[in-house]
Amino acid sequence: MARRITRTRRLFGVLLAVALLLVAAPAWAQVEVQLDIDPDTVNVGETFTVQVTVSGTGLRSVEPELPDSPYFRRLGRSSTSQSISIVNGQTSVTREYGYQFQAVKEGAVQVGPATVGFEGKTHRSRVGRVTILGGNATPIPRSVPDSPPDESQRGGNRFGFVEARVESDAVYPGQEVPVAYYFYGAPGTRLREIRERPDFSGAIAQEVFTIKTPDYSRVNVDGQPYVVTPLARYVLYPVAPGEMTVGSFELGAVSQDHGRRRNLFDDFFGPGLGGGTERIITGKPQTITVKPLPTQGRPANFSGNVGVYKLEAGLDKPRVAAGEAVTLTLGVEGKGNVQALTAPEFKMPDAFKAFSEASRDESVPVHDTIKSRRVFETILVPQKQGKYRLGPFTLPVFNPEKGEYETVSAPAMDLTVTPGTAEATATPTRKSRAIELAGQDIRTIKRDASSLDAISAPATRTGWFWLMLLIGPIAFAAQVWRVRRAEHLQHNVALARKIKAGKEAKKRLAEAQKAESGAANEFGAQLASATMGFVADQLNVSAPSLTAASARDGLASRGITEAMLDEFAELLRSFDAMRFGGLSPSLEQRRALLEKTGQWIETVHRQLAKGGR
Amino acid sequence: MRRLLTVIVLALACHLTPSIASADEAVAAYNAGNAAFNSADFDQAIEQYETARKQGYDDGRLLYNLGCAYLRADKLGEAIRYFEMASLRRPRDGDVRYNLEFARKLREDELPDVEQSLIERIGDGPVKLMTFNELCAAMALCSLAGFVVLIVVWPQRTDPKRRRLIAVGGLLIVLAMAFGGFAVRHHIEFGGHRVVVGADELPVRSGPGLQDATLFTVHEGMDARVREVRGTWSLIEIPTGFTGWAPNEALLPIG
Repeated sequence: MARRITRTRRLFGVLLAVALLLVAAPAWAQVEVQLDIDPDTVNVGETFTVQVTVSGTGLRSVEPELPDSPYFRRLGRSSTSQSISIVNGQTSVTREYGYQFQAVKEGAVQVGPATVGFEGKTHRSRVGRVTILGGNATPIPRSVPDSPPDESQRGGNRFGFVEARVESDAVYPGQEVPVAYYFYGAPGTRLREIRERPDFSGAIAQEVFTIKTPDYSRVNVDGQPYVVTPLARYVLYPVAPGEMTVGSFELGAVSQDHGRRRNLFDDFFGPGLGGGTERIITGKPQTITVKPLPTQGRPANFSGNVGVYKLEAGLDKPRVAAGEAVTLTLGVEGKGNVQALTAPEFKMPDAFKAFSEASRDESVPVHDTIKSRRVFETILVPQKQGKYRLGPFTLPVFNPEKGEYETVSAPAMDLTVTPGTAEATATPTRKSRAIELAGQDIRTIKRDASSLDAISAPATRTGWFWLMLLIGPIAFAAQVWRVRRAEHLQHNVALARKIKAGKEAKKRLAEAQKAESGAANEFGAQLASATMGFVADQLNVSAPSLTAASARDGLASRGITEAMLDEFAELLRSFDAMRFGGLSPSLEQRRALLEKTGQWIETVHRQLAKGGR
Repeated sequence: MRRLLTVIVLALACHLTPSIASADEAVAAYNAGNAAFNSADFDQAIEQYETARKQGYDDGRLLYNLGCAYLRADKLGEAIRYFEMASLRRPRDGDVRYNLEFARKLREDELPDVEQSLIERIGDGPVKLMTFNELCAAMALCSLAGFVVLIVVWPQRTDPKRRRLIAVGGLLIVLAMAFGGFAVRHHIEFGGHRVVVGADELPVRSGPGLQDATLFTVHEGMDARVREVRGTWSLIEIPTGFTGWAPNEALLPIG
């Protein structure tokens, strides 16, 4: 029996393990490979780092592989590091590999995925992207200042100060003014929070970045060493001639108490954990002069555009049927506030109608500055067939770097209009996106219905689900208990009789009740059988061998009270008088006796149950 | 007794009458939406389908057709949202899967393909091909069947087939546990606060405010999961794992 139970348990164990493996399989099978690129925008000739992080349990020596690309070349591996953690007996390893690449060709390029082979399986990272700008693009400024700030720029206190580096001190309205903020912290002073951001009165400000991952460097200012942290970069556009204020940050920092030795935890967590004093550190606001735009040389059609721009024009197709739409796209790109830019001008042939003029700002933060770009789109519908020339396209601007007005332009474009079937007066509608996907289309809608499904609650919120789920194990548990009890009672007759004693006595009393109107000796015999049978069951002895004296002794030994024992003797006497003495009580007396016998059995049953014997 | 029965019947009739009426209205609106769609009046089709939804119906066909209408009306975010919702209710419907993938290809943002191992694909199969309620029902039925077998077999100590039948019962219970695990994975993957970007272009910021720096930009139709809501802003995570804050009004909830 025990062997069979062991086998069954083993079988359950195996099945449970299979279920857990099936559900958890994707989790234990994972080795994670991550790929990060820094910076994600570079100029041709500049370098960028690809960081590959491989993590997983039981990892041994692995080397990630990165695919080559004509857009960049690998300079070598710059760094590796490893960290190991043990959780619940499982060793989890994280390895980081840094690779240095040099950009060689312009383009938006895919990097990766990094692949790692482990235990016969290849694990891949996501694909990263790096934007490589042309070689003649503006050099991307680095985060750390080239030179320490002047005394006049500092403000702050002996624990540190905030420096705002403005690249120009006299500018024109609308000119792009980059501003970079740095926090100079004295040794032992760590930046904790940005309490207030700078205020720029007289200018429109666009944030390029705010501190995310601190990038530290060390410099000396007046012989005092500082740790420099780049805080933020903004691009400002002065609104009108006059003065423009470049505000400063207010920072919360923590400085190490003097005299206390720094320890490993300070270096790792900063003074926040090791203790220190809260400091508020600010910088001095700066004032920039905004010069008025010169009147000399101002074109008649100048509409206030300021910046260093280039203009490009394009059509979405070189040929179009009369009455069909063609999209003209004019892109203005460069340095300046493109949000305030007016649309370039061009001469449109009379045979064309223009619809849906729209523009969008496609400016993007590129490393430490903003690459400004605005796109103007016009839908043109030629009314007649023929060969047409659109353009040239011009945009009069004031170039603040040169300090003079100029007209940026894009060359004219030819468009062939073929005879069309559509009506020339038709209003162009925006093409459905679905048609635009290489001639494919979506699948059609579902047909008409005669009924619809209503909103249904999740099964876990319904009673039937929990009923079906729980009724099985509960019923099974009850069945196991029942079978075990039956087996137990089979081996313990005394207990079985004791448990059944009350029920059996009730049955016998019911028999006696049937005989209450019959012969007195018969009725007395039934009552005696019920009472002595009950006592025999309780004492686990055979009923015929039980005498009044042995029954009394047995009940007394089980803690039955003297009063009940006396009542027992009296009942037996009454039964014997009816059975053997010729006594024939009335029906009422018989009923009273039956009731008294029932009460006695019940009381004794209760006393025995209470006594636990 | 007769009076009691009459009261019960009347109460049931009162309870059911509005449901039947709204069901008829919903079906009529759905069919009217189909007619509008077929005559290329997509705005009208959307209005009709939305009317059916407001009656309390979210049939997979209705959601699918709504997705089609939004796609035709050039509202990619809404289209992907409704195709996603339809795929939750009709996960084995080829049309739903096809149109959802089709709409996703129209997104401006490209996501890297994730290559899954064989074990992962097997593990994901039931999660992708069954609804949450189907997985729950399968779990409950397998569990019930397994325990019924065990209840019947357990007392038959001398039956030579007992061990085999116990194994069958145990296997059914293990299967129920597997379905339970799949249901949990389904809930993790498709439950919770999933959203689709509804704005043409959405700058995702480092904090819940316009003054915070833009970390990255996503476009209409991008899937995301809401990790935290703070006032009118939500912290979202896109499938590449990038997280940032976006205004709630630019996010379309799936559910």
